[in-house]
Amino acid sequence: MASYRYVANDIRTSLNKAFDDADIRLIQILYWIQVVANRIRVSQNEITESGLFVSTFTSVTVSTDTKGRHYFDLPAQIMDLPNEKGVVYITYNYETGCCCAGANFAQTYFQPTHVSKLRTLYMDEYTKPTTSNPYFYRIGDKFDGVDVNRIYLVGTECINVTDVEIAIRCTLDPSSVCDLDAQIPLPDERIEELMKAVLDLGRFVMMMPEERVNQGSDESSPESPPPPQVPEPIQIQEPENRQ
Amino acid sequence: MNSNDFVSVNHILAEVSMTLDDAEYRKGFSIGWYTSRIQDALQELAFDTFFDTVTIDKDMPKKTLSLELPKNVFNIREIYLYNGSCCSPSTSQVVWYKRLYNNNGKGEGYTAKIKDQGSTSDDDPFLPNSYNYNSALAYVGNKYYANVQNGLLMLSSECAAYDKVRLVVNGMGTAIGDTPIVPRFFERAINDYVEERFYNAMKAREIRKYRPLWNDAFSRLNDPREGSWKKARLRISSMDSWEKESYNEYISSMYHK
Repeated sequence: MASYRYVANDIRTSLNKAFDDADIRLIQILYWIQVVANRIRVSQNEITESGLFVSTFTSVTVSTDTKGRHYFDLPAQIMDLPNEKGVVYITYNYETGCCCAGANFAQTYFQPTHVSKLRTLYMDEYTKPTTSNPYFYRIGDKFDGVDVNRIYLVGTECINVTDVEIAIRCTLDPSSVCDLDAQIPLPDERIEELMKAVLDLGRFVMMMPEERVNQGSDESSPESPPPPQVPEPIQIQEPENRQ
Repeated sequence: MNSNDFVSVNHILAEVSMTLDDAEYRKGFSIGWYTSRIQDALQELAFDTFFDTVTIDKDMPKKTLSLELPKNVFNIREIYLYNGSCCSPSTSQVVWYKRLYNNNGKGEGYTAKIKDQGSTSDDDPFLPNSYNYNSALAYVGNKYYANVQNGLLMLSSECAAYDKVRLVVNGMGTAIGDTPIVPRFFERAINDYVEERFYNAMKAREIRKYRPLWNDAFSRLNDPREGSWKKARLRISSMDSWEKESYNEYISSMYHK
């Protein structure tokens, strides 16, 4: 796998060849790498659905909000995938000790739902949220005007849940790369795509000031239209059967 | 055919969820939804095949002479009255159906288009419940009959001579909310039923993609010759070989021995 240092310097060198007077900082390229890597990670996850981007947290503290509802704050930002696939599992942090039945997340786990669908779930005896058939929903914007990134638990109202075990598909924080020698968390085969996309982003950024300047001259000619100043965006490979 | 072999809900879910590419239950349907469809399937099979036969013992309601039929059952097959405990009935009596008999759940008084005379020496209008034979009136004796209206089983006044009522009825598969228990004969039919229901629901989301899949699933389930539903009905309604052999023996022995 390629390190941030290696890829970022390579991109900076390439950009400097085209825009030798540009003041492109390494931190800016790192930011672009993270932005593009997030998009490629979602795309890669949809293609392979592997566990490459899965992170587990064995004990996440559960709190109770002002309405008495159980929730926990997500320890990291997650991918926003259909049907909350960004959360791989949430399970009670309680090992049954039954080795034959598998880990606790293979036994009882919280199923995803949406806050607007809960009412319907309560209408059927089989889908009704209970301690053995619990659900979760996400509130990712605001709670009483305060920014939150919460997962609410449903069906556990009658019991005391202190913590849960979770697994999530995380996104990368574009604003922080702590270690330049860390590996970029992407499969090797997609590093090339990352570099192209970052170079494309860089070229696009370099073009922007020129577009904003009104030179007052007509650069078009009837024979040949002016060449496009903004490069075509690079297409990131998308899965064929997107669900 | 009779058997005492069952498969669990998890066994069905394991196959269905893989077939439908929903092993993570992330297509908008919860495990409960799938379980509910399994219960639906059993219920439909119970209505179609009467596979679920249940025996229920109740105390005789001597005052009202009426019983509410238990939940989760339909189609009365047999009714008996008996004395003793449910573990060891002593004297017992068959209860017959009387058309339009109606005590309105209130006791001995009743209406009917044709009423009996209320005497134990009457001609029994139904079948001989008693072996007392009168040469003029044929079989005479107490009359034990009942009728059902709006889920209320109404018994004749002479039924009060017994302490217990035994109902043999058809069950509706699994009570709603209970964990379904699937007879092994039905495994294929239930898998196909859940699959068909899934694609039917998905049609509302993306009809171009899911209509052909639903069509396949529907055919697999309902094909009149090879469909799994048809096969399930045939399997459960066919006689055991033992029964068949016995019938053959009885019939062949009737006039030739």
